[in-house]
Amino acid sequence: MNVVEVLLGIDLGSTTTKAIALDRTGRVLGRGITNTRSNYEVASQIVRDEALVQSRFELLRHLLADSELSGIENKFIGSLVRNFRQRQHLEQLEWLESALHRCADAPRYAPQRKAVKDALHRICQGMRSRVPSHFSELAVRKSDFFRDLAAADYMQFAEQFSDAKHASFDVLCGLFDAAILVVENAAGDGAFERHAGPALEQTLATAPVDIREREPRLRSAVESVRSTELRVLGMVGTGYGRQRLPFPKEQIRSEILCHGLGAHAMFAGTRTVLDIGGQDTKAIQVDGAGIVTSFQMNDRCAAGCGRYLGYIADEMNLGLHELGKLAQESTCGVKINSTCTVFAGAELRDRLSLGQKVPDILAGLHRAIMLRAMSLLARSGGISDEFTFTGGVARNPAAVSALRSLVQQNYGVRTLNISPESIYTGALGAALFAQRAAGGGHAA
Amino acid sequence: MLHVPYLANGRIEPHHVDYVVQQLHTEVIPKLEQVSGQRYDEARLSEMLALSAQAEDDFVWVLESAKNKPSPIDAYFGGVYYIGPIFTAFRGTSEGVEYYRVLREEIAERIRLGLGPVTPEGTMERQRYRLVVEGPPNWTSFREFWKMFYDEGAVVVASSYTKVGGLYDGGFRHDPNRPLESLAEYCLGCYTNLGLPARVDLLERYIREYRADGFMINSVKSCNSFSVGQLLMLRQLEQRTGVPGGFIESDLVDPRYFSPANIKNRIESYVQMLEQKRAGVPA
Repeated sequence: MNVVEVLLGIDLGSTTTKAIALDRTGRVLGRGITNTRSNYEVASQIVRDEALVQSRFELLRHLLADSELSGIENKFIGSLVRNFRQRQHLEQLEWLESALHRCADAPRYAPQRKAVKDALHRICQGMRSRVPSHFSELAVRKSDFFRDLAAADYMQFAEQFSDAKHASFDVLCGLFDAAILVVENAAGDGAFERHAGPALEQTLATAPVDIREREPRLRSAVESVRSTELRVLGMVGTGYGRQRLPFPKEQIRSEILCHGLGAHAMFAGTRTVLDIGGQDTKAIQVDGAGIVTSFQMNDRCAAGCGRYLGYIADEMNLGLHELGKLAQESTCGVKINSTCTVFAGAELRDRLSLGQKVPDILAGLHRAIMLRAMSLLARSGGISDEFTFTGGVARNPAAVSALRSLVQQNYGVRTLNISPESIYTGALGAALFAQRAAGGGHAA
Repeated sequence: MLHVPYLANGRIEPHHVDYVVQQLHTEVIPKLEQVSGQRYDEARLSEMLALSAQAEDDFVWVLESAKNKPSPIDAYFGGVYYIGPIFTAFRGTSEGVEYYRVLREEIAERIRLGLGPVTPEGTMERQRYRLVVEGPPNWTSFREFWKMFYDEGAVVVASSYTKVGGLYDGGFRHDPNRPLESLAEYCLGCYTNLGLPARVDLLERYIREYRADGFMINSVKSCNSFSVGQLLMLRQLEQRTGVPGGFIESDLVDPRYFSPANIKNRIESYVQMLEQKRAGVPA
């Protein structure tokens, strides 16, 4: 049996938990992300499993690329992954359905149990029918989290199949809220072993000729990866919830160091790092080796962090990912004074009542966040070239453009690096620390 | 009220002393005589100042014991206990003299045995980082705050907060031969009455003389005498000494400003940064 040694980094953020799996040379094999909820132990288990699942797909990619199968690996693996995800999703739907029924067995539903259970049955049937379209080749999913996809479908069918008298929409929503926790907190270990085989059959059954012709070799490649042992040589945890990780103290690193090293690994020229996460903002200076030389972070108040944007999105009844795009439509900036989440909510309503346009207000809010970040950056020693922006908020285009213009105004020309994988920066740094502890090389 | 002029250039000038002594003569002594019904007795004051100076010698010896490796004391969390008697009711008393004599003996014994400071959880075994701390401690979560340091093996070898009641280790002693002048100099020379440049000089001296690995600023909201200019001090100290500074924010008295997760995060990040720097490569 093949053995591949892997190093894991886990970043327990306040909003999402991320994992990165590296091989011994420091090459990224897999990533995992989930919403943290309030259960750090489960979240870390889930992202760890997910990173290892992705690692197996990555190993498969290496295997195919290095063989005569090179050239079809993207097409084949793309289809295999979609079928795999679909089976995983269906499995979770099964868990959800049984959890829903268990919740509906509670005594208080006795009078209307039959109607409720009938509705649940029809909702779940409807949800299953949607699954293939979620995982088709051209599908654009609004979220990769099971909770989000399932909730959107569930609510839609619940509206259709509820009736005010026997199985009300409110009752059905309450059942979903209880049942989804059960599903989310069930770690799906062994997913690759369970689903890879059936996903492969599904892929081959619908595959074009060039793939079917190579069926025996593809089967053996998948089997080889499935039976490979992923031996976890070391694991380092970081992030807001790191104290809750079941690791010994020496395997826990501060997120300041992890973000510094992760940013250095992504962009070797990095000297200043800004990380805006859900709960805090960090300004970090690093030297040429990724060693932190100075840092500043917000005090106890999470004003101006990711949570602030989440709160504003809720207030505006928008999705978090829609916020930045809408702000970019602004034609006339509005000056928002407060980065305090509570006061900003009040200020937002105040501005709306004055008739100011939503995109303009949102642009002002993004600028307010970045002004606060600029002050932390100044405290930490300013912005040197190159400047790397990490964390979930780096995905927000309005936040990025506000930052860009403030940097230009205050410091002049700076190279601003943002990786599409910026949300994994802390996990990457943690994995690199694990690699170093295990005596690996310094490649990143 | 006694008005004590701020030492913008960090030095006590004769006119400062004259100004304070004059107030003692014309304002403070008459008022105290009136309130207490007793005459001012300069001979008695001189006696007390002599006793105080005796205690001050032992107190300074204790503070400077932190130059040892390992340090037998924590000069911040432990230091605030040591300043208690001399800064408050026992200055100039024989009880005060006795307290510092016993303390000195105890610390001398700890040095002989190679023991570290006493913490709420017993003797600190491992001293991984020697720190200088600027700023007051957090009184509302004092023990929790202290634990964050000793859990990381961080011992404080010198602090500015233990100098708010007099810079005895800077050479000041109460002088029985110049009683009122000496009291004036005492008031003028307290740490928070110094200007920023003098504070930076003092902290730089501590970092060097106490062979510190780092320095930490606890910036509090409720004491501007301390907090104003601390970020500037941080940068200057880093530039002058090459020793990295850490910055945490809390308060002396308001429990709402003490966020344990945030402060612990900063302290841990800071000591891990020191570790990384010490190793020279990413640790």
